[in-house]
Amino acid sequence: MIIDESSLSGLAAYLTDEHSNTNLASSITARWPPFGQQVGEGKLADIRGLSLHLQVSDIESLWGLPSSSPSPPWLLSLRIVKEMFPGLYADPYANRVHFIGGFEDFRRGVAENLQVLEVDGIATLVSSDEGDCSWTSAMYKMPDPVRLNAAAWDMASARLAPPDSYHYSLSLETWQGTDPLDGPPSGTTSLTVASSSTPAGTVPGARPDHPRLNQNAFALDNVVAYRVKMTARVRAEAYVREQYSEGNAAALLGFPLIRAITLLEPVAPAHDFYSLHEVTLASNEYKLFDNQDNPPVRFTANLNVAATLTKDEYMELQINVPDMQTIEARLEATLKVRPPVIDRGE
Amino acid sequence: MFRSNLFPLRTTVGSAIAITEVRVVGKSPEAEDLDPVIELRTQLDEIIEDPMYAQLLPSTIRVGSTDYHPISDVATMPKPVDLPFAPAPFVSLFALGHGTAPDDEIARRVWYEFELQLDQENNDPVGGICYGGYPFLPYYVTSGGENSANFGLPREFQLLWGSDSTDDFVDSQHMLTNEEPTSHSGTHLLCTGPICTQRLRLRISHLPRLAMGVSSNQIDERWGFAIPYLFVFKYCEGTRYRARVPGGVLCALQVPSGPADPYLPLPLHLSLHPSPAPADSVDLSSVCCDAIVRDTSTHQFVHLSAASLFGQRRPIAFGGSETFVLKVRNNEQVRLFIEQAEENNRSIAGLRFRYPGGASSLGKRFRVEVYEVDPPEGVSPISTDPDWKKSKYLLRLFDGETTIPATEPWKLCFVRGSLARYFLVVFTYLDHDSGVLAIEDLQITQSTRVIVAPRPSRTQTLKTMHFRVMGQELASDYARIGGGDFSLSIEHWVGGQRKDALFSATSLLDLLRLGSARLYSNHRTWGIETETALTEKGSYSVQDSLGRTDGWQRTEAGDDLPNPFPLPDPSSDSDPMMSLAQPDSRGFTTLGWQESRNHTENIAPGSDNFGPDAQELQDLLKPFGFPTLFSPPLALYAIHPDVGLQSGDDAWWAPWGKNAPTDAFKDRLNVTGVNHANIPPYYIYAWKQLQKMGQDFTAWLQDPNKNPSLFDDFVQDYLQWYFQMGPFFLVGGMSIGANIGGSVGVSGGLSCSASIGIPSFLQSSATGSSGSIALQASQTGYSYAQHVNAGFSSGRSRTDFQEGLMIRKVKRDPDYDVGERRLGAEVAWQGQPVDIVTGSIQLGAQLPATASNIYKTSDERIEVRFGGAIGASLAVDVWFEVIEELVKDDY
Repeated sequence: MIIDESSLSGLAAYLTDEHSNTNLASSITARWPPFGQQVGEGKLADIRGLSLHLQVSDIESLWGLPSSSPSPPWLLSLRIVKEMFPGLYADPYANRVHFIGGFEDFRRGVAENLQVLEVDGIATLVSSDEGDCSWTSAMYKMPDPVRLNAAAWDMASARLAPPDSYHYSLSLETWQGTDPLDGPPSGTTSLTVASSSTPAGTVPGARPDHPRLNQNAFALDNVVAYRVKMTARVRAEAYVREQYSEGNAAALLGFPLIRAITLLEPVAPAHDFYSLHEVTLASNEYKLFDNQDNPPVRFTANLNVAATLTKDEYMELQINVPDMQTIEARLEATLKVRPPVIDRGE
Repeated sequence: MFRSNLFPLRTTVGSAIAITEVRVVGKSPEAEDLDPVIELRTQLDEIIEDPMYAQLLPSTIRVGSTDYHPISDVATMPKPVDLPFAPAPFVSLFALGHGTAPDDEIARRVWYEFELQLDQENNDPVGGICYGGYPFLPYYVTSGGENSANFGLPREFQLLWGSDSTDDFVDSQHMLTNEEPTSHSGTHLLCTGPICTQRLRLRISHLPRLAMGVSSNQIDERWGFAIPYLFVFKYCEGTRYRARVPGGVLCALQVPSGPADPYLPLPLHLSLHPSPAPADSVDLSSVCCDAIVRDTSTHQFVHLSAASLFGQRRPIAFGGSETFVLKVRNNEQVRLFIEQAEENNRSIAGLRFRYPGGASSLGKRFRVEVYEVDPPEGVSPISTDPDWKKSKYLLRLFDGETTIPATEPWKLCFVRGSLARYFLVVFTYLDHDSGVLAIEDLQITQSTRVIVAPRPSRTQTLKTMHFRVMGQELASDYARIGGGDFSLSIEHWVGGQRKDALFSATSLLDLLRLGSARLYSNHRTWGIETETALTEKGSYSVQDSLGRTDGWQRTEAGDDLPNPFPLPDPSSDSDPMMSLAQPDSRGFTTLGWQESRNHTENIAPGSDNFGPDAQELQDLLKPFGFPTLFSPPLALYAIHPDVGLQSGDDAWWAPWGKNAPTDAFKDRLNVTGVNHANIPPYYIYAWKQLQKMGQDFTAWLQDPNKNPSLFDDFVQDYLQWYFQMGPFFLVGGMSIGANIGGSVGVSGGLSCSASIGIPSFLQSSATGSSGSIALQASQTGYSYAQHVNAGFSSGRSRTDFQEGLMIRKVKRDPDYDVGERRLGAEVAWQGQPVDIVTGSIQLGAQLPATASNIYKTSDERIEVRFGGAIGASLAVDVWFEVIEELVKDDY
């Protein structure tokens, strides 16, 4: 099968608002792919940059930060929404990832009926034999209070693993504000979604085929410390072939469970531009065009933005420029298409 | 286990190590009352029959209202066909526990731990264990993709070993765990890598559930395990390159319906499909589709298993050997999940089917699909999902139709080579009448090339390809690779593009063209050499020799004896010296000629050496009154110059060196006359007269001209003495006289004789020479001699070389059996001298996972082609450094 690659061109290369306008002067939000459309399965947009064209009557006023505090405070805000973790779509330029995983994190926690073993080259919490098991991480103290609003975790097994092979639950225990750190956590947030088919007497929580993320279901502000707790019940075996030291082999192996927990902390987006000066700093090239004896009113810039967008991912531009006549945003990208293969008789 | 390398050709399985003792060292509380059966075996034939087999199989199959029992051949175990080594003493392990309910998890909790004692004389590193289950157990597939009986194999193997050298460490690698929900029916290899130990601990757990049968809509299951053979093998790195790839069946299913007489009629309410069904209905979509053949007269049956496809076929009393046979209807599918069984996945080019050619299956049309199955982590390769074709983890390798041929094997070639571990083969019956699918043998066939292509679940980044070529004659000729026609090429194929030939080599020089290539070669000398050696002055040799001979010898010579040497052909270039081996015109005879000449020189007595003899005579005669006869004695003088008594360097005794005679000795070389005296005691007076006569006569004789009167005095005295003493001498008889004569020289003598009792005296001398010549000739026409010899000799010789020249031919052959090696530049591999070329090629190719959302193309592969054959004289190994990334977006 020959795969074609083509440059994104024509009107399809422009970000459009929800009315499909390419001039976004009267718009608040523009997207690519357009509203209501997706990159789609079998397609990939390899974005190398974003060309901006602005026409503003008082362009001089946009070079510096505004004296007042407009709302929103930025002129332009670019969001690149990608699948940061399986099923979790967010802007990697606007979120900081807290990663808990690896031998050291796992071993510093308190494990019961669990071993930290290497499975397929990755440190993994593996149940010892079958039955209930649990693990509580160490407490992680933040240098500054943070906000946590999403979580994703990586299990060793695919979601196609037998649904009843194990059940598990993940929770986030937090200390917020002025909570004493030597005391119990002030809040516990369940990250997993309870399974409707959880067997009686087993650990409530998720099955292998449940989503492994929690987004927009919690928002914890002013978190000064946290820890993660996992409990599980295992009823099956997985495919494991590993070589271990004798000290880790006291018990039979059950199921490889969790490999990492990631928490998302929203931070100031890297692509929020408060002035044209910031735009030029983030651009490979920019130009100002003026009429004779008149101040310039046109500004173009090639914004240095690199992203690869696939299914369900998009780029969004939010605009907050006063007195704007024209603003156009055009992608410099290559579109790759892989037509689905349909075998005979399918 | 995470691996950063792909080894499509490598094997680490060496020969088997004898297991000398096995004992149970631990077991779980659930198995406290049940000891496993441990059978130490020495011959592979011993596994064919064992009473445990009959206990592991259903004893009764009910069809309608009739019970059928298996024939005796069913409960047997054919020898495994894919053992990678010659058998050594091994062990069989069995256990059959108690009944277990479907939701009872006791089978998962039971474990046993064994200690295997290995041959104490083995010093080679252990490489792992090789084992197999009992392939003929009925099974069903659970929703999690487990084979319930798992061919009798535990789902978890833990291998523990000790090492004295690492006991003090706390984090040494001492255990290998292999846990898989589903095992195949063939021979398994669990490779540890090289470990030095003579004792292994084996812990087995998560035992399978063995179906004993179905009665009253209840399945009778018991936990247990069956490992008819378990070997321990040595670690030995090598290359595996042959068409047949060992394999096994994971499961065989028939959908939508099952065989008419199923081996395990599983009640649908016990199956794991959620659709409601009557309690007495039978669902076979997740049950092994092994059928039975009944004999209604004897109420016996034979079980025809899919596991027999890979060569372990039981003899069937109804005739022939076991063959997988199924009745099929239009659009019915038979799905075979199979697995290649070596420790490293091989590049598979296709499959080879052999049909029994029976009339019932001949000419039937089937659609055959083959898929590569590459499940993500934690997922069984077996799927009973009705929408299985939509799975992203299947990759179609073949789709075609076949009509069952009469006798010829049917070869099925994939659209591309595959390194997959698991394959799914789907037979769909296309004819509208009922038919039979009968397969006698299924063979997974290795590709002649090594092909790395995209796989469904993992993105592969190929960083580097390494190769290694080894052979005893590899470096003998740089114009070739080894002794044959071997060549190597590495290509990168991308669909729609011209291939990128990364590297190719048809000669050793091409291989060494790579900057990373290294040649490890043994030194070479010609096997037969002409050696010229100049021996210089100062060389010497000292040789001691001892010899002993015992024997006998016979020699026979004669003209009539057969000639062992044929006459040489004058036109040939034969050795001209051969002509000397032929008799001349005289024939075989012995000729001799001899001449002997003797020459005798007579020497007159000398005056100076006559004295001692005269004095002695005088002393002798003195008691009898004899007067002094000779005074002074005569001296010896030279007669011939050659015997002259010269002195000095040119003396004739000079060659004697320091042993030359002294002057005193020289003077002892005298020639004397011989004196004889016979003196009677009563003639002293007469003897004095006679003495005077003698003195006169002697004086006259010495110089007759000096005193001529002496002779007159002698005559006068003689006459006087004669008349005085005559009467006495006449009584006794006496004569006295003198004579003078001459020939060449002058001689003379004085004699006096008397009868007994009267003294007599005789002195004789001669001068001159005499000689003789003897001529002798002989001829022997025939001789015969026979000897018995016994001898012993001891000697030492020393040869001092002044100068010499030796021209010789030398042949040098190393004696590998002795194993003594000279230190020096030498390359050996597993005890044998070989030449080795290694090299690396940077690839930098990324092969995307086909299950991912987007990728450039799946029609991409790295291909290593081998021109010519890889044989016993040339071992080739290629391996890839790879980074694999699992596709996690499976939802």
